[in-house]
Amino acid sequence: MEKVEDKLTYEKAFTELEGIMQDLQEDKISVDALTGKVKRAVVLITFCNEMLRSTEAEVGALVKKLGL
Amino acid sequence: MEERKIYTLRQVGTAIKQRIEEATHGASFWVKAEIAAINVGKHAYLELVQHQDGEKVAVMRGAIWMSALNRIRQELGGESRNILKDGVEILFLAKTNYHLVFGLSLVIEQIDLSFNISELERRKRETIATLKEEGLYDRNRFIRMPLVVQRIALIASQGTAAYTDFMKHLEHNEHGYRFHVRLFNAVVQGEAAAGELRAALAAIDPTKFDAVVLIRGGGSKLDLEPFNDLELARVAAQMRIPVLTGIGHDVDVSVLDLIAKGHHKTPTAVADFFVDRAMYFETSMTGMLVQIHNAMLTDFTARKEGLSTFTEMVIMRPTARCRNERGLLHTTTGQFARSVTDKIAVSSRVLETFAHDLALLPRHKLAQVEAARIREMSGSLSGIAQRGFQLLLGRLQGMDDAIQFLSPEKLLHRGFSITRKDGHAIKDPGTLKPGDEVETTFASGKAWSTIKNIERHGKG
Repeated sequence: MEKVEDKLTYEKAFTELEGIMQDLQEDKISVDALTGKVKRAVVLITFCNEMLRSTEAEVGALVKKLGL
Repeated sequence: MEERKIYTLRQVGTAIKQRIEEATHGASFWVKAEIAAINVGKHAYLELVQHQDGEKVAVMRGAIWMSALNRIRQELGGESRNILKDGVEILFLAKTNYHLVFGLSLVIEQIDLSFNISELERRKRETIATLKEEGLYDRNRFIRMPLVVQRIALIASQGTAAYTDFMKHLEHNEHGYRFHVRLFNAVVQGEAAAGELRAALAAIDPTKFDAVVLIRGGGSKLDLEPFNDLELARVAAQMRIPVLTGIGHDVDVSVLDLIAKGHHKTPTAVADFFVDRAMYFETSMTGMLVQIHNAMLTDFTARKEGLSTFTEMVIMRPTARCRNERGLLHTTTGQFARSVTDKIAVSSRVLETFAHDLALLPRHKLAQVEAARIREMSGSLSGIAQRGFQLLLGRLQGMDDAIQFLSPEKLLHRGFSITRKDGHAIKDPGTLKPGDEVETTFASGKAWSTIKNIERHGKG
């Protein structure tokens, strides 16, 4: 599990999220599995948000370095 | 021996002089000749020669007197040093002059510069034709110019204004770009120029530089001569890096200018070209970076929006789902409860009806029915234990007592009466109206009466 998490990328996370979202929209997830899926979605969303935030910050710093 | 006629030298000279003057009438004529040697002082003295197939076929002295020399110099301007020198073929207007002391000479009055220029142009055309034939004319021009030219091999004459200006424009450019210039010193004017330029070009290692630059501070048309040199053009055309020229001539172009990757009018123009190129590169890089940055920001915005939609859904969907499930559960429970209640209600009604019907049945009929049932039961209960049978009998007896107690006769004896209208028992005064005739049954007889007034109570 940890190893899988290590390899988590934005794209992978986003794709997984899309899957969960679709299942949620179509009510494909059983009530028993709902909590687990929501927990996973929260982890993925947090990861994606963090990736976006840090990437944006890095790009911003690089651009600033160039004096644009 | 006949007496010999002896002339003095002067007589001979005078005679020749007269003959020549008679023949020419002091007229001027155009002569084409090469200057073999020239000595310029107050006047100019020339040795004129004509070659044919490498052989001298005619030699004559020439002179330009002071007044003519000044005029010619003025007419030739900057070119006079290119014309009045050894080895140059000139076209001139002259008169013959026979001087008793100095002998025969051509006195030059005018020199036609256009002859030299057209000669130069003719040679230039020949050189270009040769280069084209050899496939060299376009060779350097096809070499790609680096996006930024920074390492420059400079062929120039150190200390000249051309060199100084070029360096100044490169080193003090307003954008602060740095250029690495290495000088390959060469004389750029005069007889030695072509050879030195060739040597300088040959000394350049093309792997160490982005471009070669040849500059000169300007000069006359005929000063371009070294840059029209065929051999120099060959070496330059075969350079594996772009050759740029700034030879400082705004009217004419040399062969070297034509075969070079680029030619500019002045050395400073070449320097500015490099600075502009670097600036263009930087500007386009900056532009691209801004574009990339903007595209990323747009992408970020889209992704953030997508994520926030997801977040919303992760919050909303499961909550909604739970609510729906709860609703479903509630509905099911309700249906269950209702169906149970309904069943109980139905059973109760059945029981009520039964009790009611039971109450209304005449005693003997009920007894008959019960007796029949008892008979039936006693038949089927033959195997049941005596005690159970007794119990059953006891219960039946109780039931019979109850029936007895509830029988209409007993009720009438206890003071109740039954009121009928048209033979039907009245249970609700609502079915009556004043004036109706009713029959009342008592335990001991009947009475007939007329309804005067009606009053209902309870649910009205």
